[in-house]
Amino acid sequence: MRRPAPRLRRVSVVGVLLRTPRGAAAATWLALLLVAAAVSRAWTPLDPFTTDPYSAWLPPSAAHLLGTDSVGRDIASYLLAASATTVVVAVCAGLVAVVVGLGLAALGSLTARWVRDGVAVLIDVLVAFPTILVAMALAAAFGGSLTVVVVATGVGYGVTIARVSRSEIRRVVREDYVTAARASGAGTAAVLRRHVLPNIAPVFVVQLSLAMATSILAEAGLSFLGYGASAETASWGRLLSDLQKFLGVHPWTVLGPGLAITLTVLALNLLGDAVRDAADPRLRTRSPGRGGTLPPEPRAPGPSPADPARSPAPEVTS
Amino acid sequence: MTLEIDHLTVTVGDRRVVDDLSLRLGPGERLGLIGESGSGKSMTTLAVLGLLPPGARATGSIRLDGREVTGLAERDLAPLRGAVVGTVFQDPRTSLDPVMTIGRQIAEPLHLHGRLSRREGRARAVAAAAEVGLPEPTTIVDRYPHQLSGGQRQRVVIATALIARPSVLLADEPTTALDVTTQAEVLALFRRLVDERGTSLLFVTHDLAVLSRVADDALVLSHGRVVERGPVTRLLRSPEHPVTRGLVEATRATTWRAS
Amino acid sequence: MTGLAPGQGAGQAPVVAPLLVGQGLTRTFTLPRRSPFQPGPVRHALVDADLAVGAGESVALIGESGSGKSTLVRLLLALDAPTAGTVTFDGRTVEPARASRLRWFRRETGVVLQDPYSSLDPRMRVGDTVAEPLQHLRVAGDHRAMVAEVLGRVGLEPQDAERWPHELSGGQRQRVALARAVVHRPRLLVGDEPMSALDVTVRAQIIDLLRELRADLGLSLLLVSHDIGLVQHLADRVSVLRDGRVVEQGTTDDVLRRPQHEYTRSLVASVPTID
Repeated sequence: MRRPAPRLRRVSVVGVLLRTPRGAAAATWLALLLVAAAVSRAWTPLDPFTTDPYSAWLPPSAAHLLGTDSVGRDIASYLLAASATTVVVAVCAGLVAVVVGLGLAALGSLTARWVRDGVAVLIDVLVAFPTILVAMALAAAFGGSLTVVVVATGVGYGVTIARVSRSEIRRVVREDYVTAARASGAGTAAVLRRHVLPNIAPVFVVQLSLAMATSILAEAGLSFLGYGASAETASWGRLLSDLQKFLGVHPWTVLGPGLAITLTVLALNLLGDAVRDAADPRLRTRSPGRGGTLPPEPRAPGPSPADPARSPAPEVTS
Repeated sequence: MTLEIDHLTVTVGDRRVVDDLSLRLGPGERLGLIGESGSGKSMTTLAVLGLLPPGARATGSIRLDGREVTGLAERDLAPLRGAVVGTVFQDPRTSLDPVMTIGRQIAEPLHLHGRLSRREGRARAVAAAAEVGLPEPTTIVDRYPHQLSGGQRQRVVIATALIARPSVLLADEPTTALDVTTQAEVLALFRRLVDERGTSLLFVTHDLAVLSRVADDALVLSHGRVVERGPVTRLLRSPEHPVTRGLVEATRATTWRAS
Repeated sequence: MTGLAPGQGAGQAPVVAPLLVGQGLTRTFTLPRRSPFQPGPVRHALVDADLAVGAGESVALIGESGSGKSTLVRLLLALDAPTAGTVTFDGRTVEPARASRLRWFRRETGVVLQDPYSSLDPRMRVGDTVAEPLQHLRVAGDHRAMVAEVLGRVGLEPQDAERWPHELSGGQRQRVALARAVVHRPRLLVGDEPMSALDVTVRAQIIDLLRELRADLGLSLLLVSHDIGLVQHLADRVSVLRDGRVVEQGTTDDVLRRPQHEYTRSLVASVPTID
């Protein structure tokens, strides 16, 4: 009777992550964001969309924690409601970026030579298109909406992810441990699952966090310009756009949405780095007999593996 | 004495990677540093060059041509490298700049340490290339490293190391990455050049058999300390320290026996 | 056999039943074109090479870099397809195919590669790496126990299964690679320069270990190396490869002590000794 190899005791990546100041801070902020987003679907202190011109520009008080804006909306409630928008945009754009990115990367590295080369050129061409321009073009065609923002930033960053992941996949596939895995009977799918994905993960995780951060900024920017969220959807970018017209008169009000955007983008970037570091076994344990910082372990002397210039990389067959 | 090292200790963090090492090298002498990886032999050469990695601290005295070099600032050390001490590292693939022609790389020490016109530099490079046995010296100086074989690249590195006529040549595993036939030629080249010019040679290796072909005396290193020293023939025939004995036995068990 | 000058290769036929046989193996690479009007240059990495490893035998392939030895090994292991020629194991044809079709062959072979620093996945623990063949090859039984047993065989501790590769020295990593190569009890162990990145004392230990494994597990051995000393201590028969062609074959004694081909002679003469 076959018993699969039991999973060896794993050090929790999350546990390691939360122990670093960066990881803990980023995770805390994002957790708060998620909670705020969830809560805002059911409840906000006041209706974020109710306008009351007689209550315009009220300073912070018990009733309006962050005051009101030019049309009397409660800024705090609006920010809370908009957090849900932010979460939705970031997650959806992230998903689109992952699908586009990994899909293109796989096509560009694991297929026949002509397909690979064609996809490589395609990726380079697509990378050249500025995301904002694409968003504006889509908005012009289909009208501004969050979907436009999500698709534009998802695809835009997905292509960058594809570019980076592709070279990582090609590097990993050349490594000796992949050859050894194939010699142990692993098929292409197993090699991908067990060796390629975990080893491209560090680069990929950072890119994904950047993609999500950029999508938030893009949403804010596009909504600011009028191509993103419609008036019925709460968005930090829209609020910023509304408030900045009065920057000279009421400068403090922009702090609300401004800080919200900045902190969220920062948190995502930091989280990406922290996850990458937490998942790297080399950074979690020390090498034998080391004290203090040492240069990378010196290679034991030996003839270098065959010069890559002399033998072309073998095709990845199944 | 071209190279004198007294009580050199190199620490990284709380570890001593070189522990109280002393040696003397005179003109024309060929001394080997033998030990396994991690024994501190490479760190010793880096200490002589003042190129220790960040985080490493060295104490003790190192004198090149009578001049104390420990504690020298970078701008006083740099003129010595290439001019007083030449170096050959292990990997010929990474020791050469892939976007510089061979001729420019060989002549670089001359341009760094003195004024030389382009044409003079090229002429000296051609002469140096011929001296190390590179084929077609007048055309090879215009080639790029990727157009040469591993053995040829290592010859280029040797030519570069010696062109400014240093008093000391440091070689750190220079033949380990080469084929066995090329290795034999390069070792013979070392012997010839050192004899002809009277340069001192400090040859670092983990391979006793290679050592026996190029050095007269040797220091055996283990965990940063010198555990035995003496003529190579004596070390091979009657090693005293257990580390040396272990090395000799292991070498016997893994190398070619002609008889 | 082709590829040899007349008079050479006396005694090259294995005395015992052949296990892995490569015949007429040729591998040509077409390099990318330099100009759109001319076809790309062609590199003959291997030309008409024959090799046989018999049951219980130890055969070495000697060659310098560029000789085609790694290419030959990849062909023999069905990690690459030959331009011409055949590979058989126990009489069955071997050629690159889907992993499921080659499972029978992968069960019979184990590989140890040159560089201990890149042959272990840095993101997998030792135990998982060693267990990998057992999983891919659907081997029945308690994998965890098998891993512990084979780790002991190669001179490591069972608790080393929890370690990460970067925590181990080069010699220890190579032992892990060996463990992975024999955990599924193959009949043939293939080593591609398995010692060249190791210190000399470690090499001596691994040589002893290989001898032990051969005796205990009845392994045949195909060793690819440029190190003549190693070959002398480990191999019964030797093939010398140069520029993609087999230039000499025979028993270790014959080829190394009484080399016929001038290339073999120059190889043997260049090797530094300490006697």
